[in-house]
Amino acid sequence: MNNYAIEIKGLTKTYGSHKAIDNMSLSLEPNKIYGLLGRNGAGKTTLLNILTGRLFADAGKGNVKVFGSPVYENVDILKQICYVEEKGFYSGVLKVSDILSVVRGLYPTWDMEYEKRLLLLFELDTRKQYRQLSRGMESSLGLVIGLASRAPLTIFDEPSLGLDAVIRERFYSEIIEDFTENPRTVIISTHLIDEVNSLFEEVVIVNDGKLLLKADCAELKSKGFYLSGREEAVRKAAEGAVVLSEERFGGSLTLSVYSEKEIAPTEGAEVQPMSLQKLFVELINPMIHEQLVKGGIVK
Amino acid sequence: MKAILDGSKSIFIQICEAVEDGILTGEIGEEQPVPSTNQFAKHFSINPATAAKGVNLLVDEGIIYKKRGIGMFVAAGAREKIRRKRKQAFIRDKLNELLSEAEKLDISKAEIIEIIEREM
Repeated sequence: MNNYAIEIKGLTKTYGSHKAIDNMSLSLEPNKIYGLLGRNGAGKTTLLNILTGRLFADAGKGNVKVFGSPVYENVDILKQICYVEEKGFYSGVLKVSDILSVVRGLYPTWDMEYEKRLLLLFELDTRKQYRQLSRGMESSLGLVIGLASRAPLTIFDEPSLGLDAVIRERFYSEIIEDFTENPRTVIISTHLIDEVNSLFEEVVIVNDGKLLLKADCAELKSKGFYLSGREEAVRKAAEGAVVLSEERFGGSLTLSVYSEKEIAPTEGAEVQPMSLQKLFVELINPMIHEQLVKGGIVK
Repeated sequence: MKAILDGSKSIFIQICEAVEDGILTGEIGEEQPVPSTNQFAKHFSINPATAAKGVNLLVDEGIIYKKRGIGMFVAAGAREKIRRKRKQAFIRDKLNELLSEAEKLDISKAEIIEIIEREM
């Protein structure tokens, strides 16, 4: 036994000649909200499918444990995992109320009162058939299931697809509200990095089936800066930082940099913080990958 | 206390500054309670660990202190401590920014002094 919620060692999953997951090792601690970031095809959903026992790793290639035990056909562990997939696989003729009554039975931690409140909050009509739901309503159903399950490991894969801004905002405040009262391990995979990252304690970035980075979200975010102004002054201000990209505009130079230390503005060089989404885009750039590995910034 | 966050700085720095502003303006008095980490998290919809970072910075600086099992309170002398710290930062950041902008615009020292005297 150990204290990790999730422990993955040397995981590989191949489809034909394509390595969807390539020798990945990753440990996640319990009772934290993790953001799982990566481009389409980076391996996020494959990783989640393996974590939740829906997919097998390549034979002999990987050890996956959730709450200290293997997940495959392990009912005791599976009932502690609620995985809200990007796309549900319910029969179209089932009503929302039917789906909920089935799913409710899967989780001993399910909170019936909370489910009722969530249905109102996310404006879901339980009399509708699954096939009648819009993309947004389908996502709302996933939010209700994920939150009401109170599962010790709750995973949302792209939870905000098709949701309008009002419902998205309700979800963000609801998940924090509930998390502070009922802590659990949460993984949220998303492309809406700037919108969602304040929910995360840590971010996990995957790229080409590999773990690129696992870091404290607020700390990582505070390491990205834009420096702009006169070339000389900007270069000087960037000393000691890792330059991610540079751009010239008019007579001025703008550098995107990664810096462990705070950078103070100087005469001729302005400093601006970088959004996590911009930093993410810079960090997955293959052109500077080797340099980032050398600098110990990514794996 | 400032009740909204923007993208200009780290969230935990903004939480720090929100509490400091509240203390400076007298909204939260010395020995008065400060919202808990979870209250900050819920109010701003941010991760409680991030809220805790901001709160802990204030604890480290002796601006607020924890009473075990009760909550967090503004320390005696906190207002003066913040005032001194902010004054230094004001001179270092804001005044320097003002002076370099004035230089770009060819505003003379005499002119700046005149403006300040008129406004203050």
